[in-house]
Amino acid sequence: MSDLNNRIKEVIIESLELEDITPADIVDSAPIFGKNEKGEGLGLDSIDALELGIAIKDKFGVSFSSAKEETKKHFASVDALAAYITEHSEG
Amino acid sequence: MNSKTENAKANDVLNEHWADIKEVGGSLWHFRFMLWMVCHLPLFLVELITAVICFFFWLGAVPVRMRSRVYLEHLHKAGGKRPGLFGTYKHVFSFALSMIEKLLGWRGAVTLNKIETQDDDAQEMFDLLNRGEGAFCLCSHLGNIEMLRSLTGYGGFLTKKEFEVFPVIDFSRTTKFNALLRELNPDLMDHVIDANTIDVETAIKMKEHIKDGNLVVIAGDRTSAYARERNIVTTFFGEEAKFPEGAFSLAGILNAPIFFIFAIRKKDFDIRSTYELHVVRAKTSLDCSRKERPERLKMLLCEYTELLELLCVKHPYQWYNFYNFWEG
Repeated sequence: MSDLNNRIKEVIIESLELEDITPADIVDSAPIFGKNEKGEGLGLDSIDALELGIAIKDKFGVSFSSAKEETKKHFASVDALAAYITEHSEG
Repeated sequence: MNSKTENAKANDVLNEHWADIKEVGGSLWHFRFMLWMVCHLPLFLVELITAVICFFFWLGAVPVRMRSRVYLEHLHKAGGKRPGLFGTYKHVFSFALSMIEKLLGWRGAVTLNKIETQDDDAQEMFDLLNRGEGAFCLCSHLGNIEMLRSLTGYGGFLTKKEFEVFPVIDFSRTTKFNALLRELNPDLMDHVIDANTIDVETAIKMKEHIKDGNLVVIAGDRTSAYARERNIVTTFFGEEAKFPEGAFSLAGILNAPIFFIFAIRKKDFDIRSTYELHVVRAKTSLDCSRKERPERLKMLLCEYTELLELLCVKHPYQWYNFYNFWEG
């Protein structure tokens, strides 16, 4: 599980070229887009989301439902994304 | 009424975001009448009746006239034609003709010999499509977007290989007209990607469409109704105007060859006219680091607006943005 989390973080950093951030800097439960009330999160926006989504699909081979709210939920945090990938990856 | 309140009213009209402006052109009944005409009358008669109806619409539609004038005056200041007394009428009439074109297009009544390619990068795009590669196209509200969409049927005519066109369109503000279009051709509607619900899944689909050798087309000259704050500002006809960041960013996200594409009636006021198909390959590549991207996006936008200005001056009345493009 935490290995998958780390791979996800690497994909986030690589695809969005977050140079100053290491996987250790990303909090597993913190929001990927925007920030939570504690100020945690990467503060990415909707256009970044598309890019990241494509990268995740390429790397992990999962697709996302077209229901907007659902997709948003899956991208809520690294933990949520890992759970989604575990559930939907093809092997 | 004193002139102050009148001025304030005028400002309100000119400051409205296009997405807040109600669907102009009236009720479903009007559109049905239009469709009936298109189906039963010869086209010259359709044009004549449309011209008369437009005249009365134009007399009553003060906000439309104001917005149209703002555009025509910008054009004039930048070296275009001086808008005469009837300039705004011509603009409205040309727009009405474009709606009829749409109905014709969706009925499948557009014939293949009506497209005339120019001495530009069209061949490069056709070669690409022949190799089974796709592209991302930035179109505009200048001319006939439907014509671009109906290029889907042009495989075998312009290109050896079949290809499809997937337009990204905001349909939320023209619901009545679209209901009619859907009725005319439900299959074509399946190709449309809704601009307001672009998410990860749709982005992946667009990428796949391009990979499969198709065109994904989006207009670059209307700010997003969904993300109104995401704009890039550049000078357009001498004054700063906002353009949608999303449309241009998509080009980078999809990482495909980028073309600017326009289909414009050769004769502004005749729907029987042939169409000029302009295809220009973008020189700016978005294959760069993210840090460089804002600057590249701006370069891409400038390429686009330069071309758009050029073609707007040639065909001023075929630009169908009836809101104040330079608001705020």
